Amino acid sequence: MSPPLDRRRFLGLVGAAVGVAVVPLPGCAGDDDGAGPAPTTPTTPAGSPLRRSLAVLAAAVRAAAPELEPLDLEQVALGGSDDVLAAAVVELAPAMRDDFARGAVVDAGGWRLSETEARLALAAS
Amino acid sequence: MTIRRLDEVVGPRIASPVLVVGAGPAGITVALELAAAGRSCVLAESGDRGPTAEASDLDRGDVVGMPLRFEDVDLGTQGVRMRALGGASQHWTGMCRPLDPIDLAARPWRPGSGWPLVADDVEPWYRRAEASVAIRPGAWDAAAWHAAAGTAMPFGGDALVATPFQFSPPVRFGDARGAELEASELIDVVLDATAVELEVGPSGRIATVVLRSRTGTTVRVTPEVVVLATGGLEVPRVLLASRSAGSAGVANSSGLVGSGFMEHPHRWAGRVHLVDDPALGLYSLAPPPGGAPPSALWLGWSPTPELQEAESLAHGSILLWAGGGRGAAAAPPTAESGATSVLLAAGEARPVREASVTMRVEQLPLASSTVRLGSATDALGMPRLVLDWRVDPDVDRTMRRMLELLAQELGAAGLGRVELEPGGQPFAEVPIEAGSHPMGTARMHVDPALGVVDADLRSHDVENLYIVGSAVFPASGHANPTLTIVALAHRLAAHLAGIEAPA
Repeated sequence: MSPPLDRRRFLGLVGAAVGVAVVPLPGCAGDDDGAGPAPTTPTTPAGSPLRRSLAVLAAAVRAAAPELEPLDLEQVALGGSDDVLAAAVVELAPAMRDDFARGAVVDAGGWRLSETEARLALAAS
Repeated sequence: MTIRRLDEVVGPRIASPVLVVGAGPAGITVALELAAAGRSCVLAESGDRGPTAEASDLDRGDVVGMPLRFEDVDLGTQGVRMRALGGASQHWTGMCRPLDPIDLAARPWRPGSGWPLVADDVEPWYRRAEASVAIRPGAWDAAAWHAAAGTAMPFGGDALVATPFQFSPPVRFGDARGAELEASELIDVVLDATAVELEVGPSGRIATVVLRSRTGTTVRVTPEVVVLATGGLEVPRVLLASRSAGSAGVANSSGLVGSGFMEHPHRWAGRVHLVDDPALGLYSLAPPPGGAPPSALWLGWSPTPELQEAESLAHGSILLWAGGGRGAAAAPPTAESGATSVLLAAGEARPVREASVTMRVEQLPLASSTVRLGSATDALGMPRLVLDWRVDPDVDRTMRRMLELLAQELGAAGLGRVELEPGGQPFAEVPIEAGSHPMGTARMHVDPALGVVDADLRSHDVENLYIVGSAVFPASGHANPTLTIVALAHRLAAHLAGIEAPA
């Protein structure tokens, strides 16, 4: 079994996928569960809540579905900011919905995910 | 006529055309409907006006199979019952839903399924029952509830169909109908009167019913008709303990009395993370649009009949719980708690909300799932129950599948994501709970070899014995049983009184 996801961190991705855009929370406001790094003491995975959500998710996806390949998503690979990443998520949201509609899903870390969002996590992590 | 105790009955016998045993929702409904038709009866209740420890002790038995648990509480055989005027309605939640046509149908992939009734046989009586429990008559169309709320259906497709549950206030039949019982000149209500034996006479009919009080008073009733309405556990107990006609008990030539015990397996598993969308507004327990009745409304989802057939699934339902208790979904997460990232949709903040997931499914009437008599006896000398509850593998499979389907539909609609295994706890390790719905222990079937009672609820073996309640359910569906129990009671009373079904 793959390691459980931290659902609170993962909400960043969920929100992005089902909504339109993610507003990065300041610092580590999303990490009151004690599992995440404090803003002044960055550890792995580092970065904003969304980026860390993707990193945690990617680890679970790799464990559960090693056959999945990252998306060829240049802007994600090159983009250093969460604004770019969030835009990529928004762009892919219809594909994620389509994945669910046709059953292209993967179970990772206890979640049922769209294959596209799983690939996005792999690409962005 | 006043409500009296068995100890207050003068003389050792009561003569009555009809004896109704058990004053729960079924028994009270039968008695009142008979009285409305000008028929008199004795209504014998084992308990008192309210619950007592002494009466409850009569329900104590052994559980040797799966535990009847609810959250961390082991209900045992006592916790699922209420021995008092009003019966189990005195502690029910009021959650109501009729059976669906597929629940009544014989389904090749569901061994033992099939009622000897079709929807048209029960629909008129559901309307009567809905009035009896103060819910909105016939309001089982999810689209109509959405229209009333001014919201769109969150999704509609081939997999899941929206499934409304209405809530009674709840009507507690002992409290709500007690004054009518007391005022009726035709109903003789006798409390602390436990039926300990049904004695079969030479003609093969029930000749005498032995009633006993907890102080030892014994009174014999000689009715023309007996209606046994003591619930899914006590019906088989009384029948099996009545051995005047043989060691197998009364009405048991099929050997099915006590066999095929069913519950509604429940499970709290999974968690959903939803965008705050009005389309989901009806999918948590809340007052209904337009006001009462019902006192509350809760929509969930069920696999469509087509999908049940295609995947050989049981019938079940899955509901979201965003209220207090049950997991970590006590309240919508807030930014301050760090439990959400705020979404923007066209400039509008859309917080993510969490909800727990609860699900229930029907189970097969397994021959190995039984209610039988033990060697211990209660204070009245009756053998105590041994309950051996077992479920079939389709319970797990259907529950898991419903959660997957919910994930699929929410994801496809862009409304949220589902954690199948929150906290990494494997789905199969989440314990199955009971719904306090004992059913199927005196099943209904047209074939005397396959059932205890016929479609009129008359015993195949004993001409003047009728059974009403969840004991006669040959298949349970996923709906809470009380509404169906009351509907069957209305139907039986009309049958006994020779009244046609309402249009």
